[in-house]
Amino acid sequence: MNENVIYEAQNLCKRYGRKPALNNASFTVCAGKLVGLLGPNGSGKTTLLKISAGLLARSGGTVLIDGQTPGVYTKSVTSYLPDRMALPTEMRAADAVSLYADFYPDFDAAKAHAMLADLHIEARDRIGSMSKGTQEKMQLCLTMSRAAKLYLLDEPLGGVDPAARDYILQTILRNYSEDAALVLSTHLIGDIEKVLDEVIFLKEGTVLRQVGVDTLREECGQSVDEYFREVYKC
Amino acid sequence: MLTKLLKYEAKTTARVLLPIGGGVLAFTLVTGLANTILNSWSELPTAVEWMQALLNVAAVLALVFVSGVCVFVNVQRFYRLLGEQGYLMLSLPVPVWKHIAAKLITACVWTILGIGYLLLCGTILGGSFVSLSFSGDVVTPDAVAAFMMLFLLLLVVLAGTYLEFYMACAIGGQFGQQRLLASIVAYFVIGFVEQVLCVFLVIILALGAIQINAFAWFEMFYQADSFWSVIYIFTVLILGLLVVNAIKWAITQWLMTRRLNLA
Repeated sequence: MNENVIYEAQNLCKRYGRKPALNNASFTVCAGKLVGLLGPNGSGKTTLLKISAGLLARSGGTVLIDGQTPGVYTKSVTSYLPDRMALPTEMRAADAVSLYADFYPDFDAAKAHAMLADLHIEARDRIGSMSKGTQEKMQLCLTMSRAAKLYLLDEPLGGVDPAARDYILQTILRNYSEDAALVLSTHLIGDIEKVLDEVIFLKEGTVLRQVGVDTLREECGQSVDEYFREVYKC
Repeated sequence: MLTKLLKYEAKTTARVLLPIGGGVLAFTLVTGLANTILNSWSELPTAVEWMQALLNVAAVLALVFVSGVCVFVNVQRFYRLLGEQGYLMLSLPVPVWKHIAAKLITACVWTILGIGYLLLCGTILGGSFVSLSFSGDVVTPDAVAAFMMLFLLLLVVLAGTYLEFYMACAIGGQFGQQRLLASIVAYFVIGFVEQVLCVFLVIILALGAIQINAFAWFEMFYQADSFWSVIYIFTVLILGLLVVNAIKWAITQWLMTRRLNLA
């Protein structure tokens, strides 16, 4: 295996009953790359990230993160942002920071507090009393305050206004370490394609194509967004 | 990591249970005080007697409510681990057995504290602390040992009760939809299967005991040393229940590692 590969999926399968969500998905992600996981709704993006984060059992195939199958070690080197609010709403902002600091040795509490201050979130603010957008930004701040080897961000731009999208993108780019790999799922391609190194197109649970963004533009003479619209045209 | 999980669990559950427990304790104190004052009077108007009775019924209902909340909160903590909160908690670099252990230890500690709390409230309602007093003469090494064995037995039964809830939640978590309903159905199915297996086990053990004349052996043992024979029975019971608990734990852990399916 290439030393630079931080993430590897081989023939990954997941079935919900009889319905396949992932069907022999295979790809690799190298350290230092910012990768977009693209596909329409139901293409298996969330399922793939959940399996990688160790939150869903796979039906077949393998996933290796830093050479190991999802478990305690991979969770210690992977920073995962789910597609929903996972922080307990009864917690205060300071409690959430303490929780991350307690369990993740690579968590930078000072960085998290600084990011929360930027969002005008007080340590005593209850998460439940924050707006949905602020909750999502707070969750992202906590995720990006880790010095992880791999970041898995599931729809970080979903459900927020365009101004918040810019903030989220800037937060990701400012805080993501150059040595780490970042896999980001979205279908809001226009907003992120300028920052991506590579894209992985998923269709009905299989990897349709993994390609560098510059290569794709040179080959097709199209932006990633245009290519996406052409490939997934209804 | 287990210590950190326990700290987090204790804080989260205390945030719900302590205010409710405190409120009910205050209400119990008021009722107990009213009982002490009113009981000291020989003749009371009927309306006051009715009011006193209603106050006591309300206090007892409040205690039943606290007991229910204590169990509900501890089961709900586990149920939510397999739902939205699992996205945070199960992403932590902590093995699954530590999550189960943290939830189970917290639930057992709260339940034991709850029993003490109910005894205290019951005593306050009765208007005297006489029922909580005991003579120092009964504190003999044998009595302490017997009490410890009984406590251990009750603790194992308590842990088994919570593990059964957890196993039902883990089974319900396998379903894509209607997880709560599936968990409730699973709980009753587990209970039914457990009872059927228990009946078969008792029949088999009874037949075996008759064949090897175990009762005569035990009678001989009991007459020779009644204390140790009772301790022996407790030990066998505890070990048997521990095996059942271990099976429940193993199934729950297997479902949460090999078959994890967060909603």
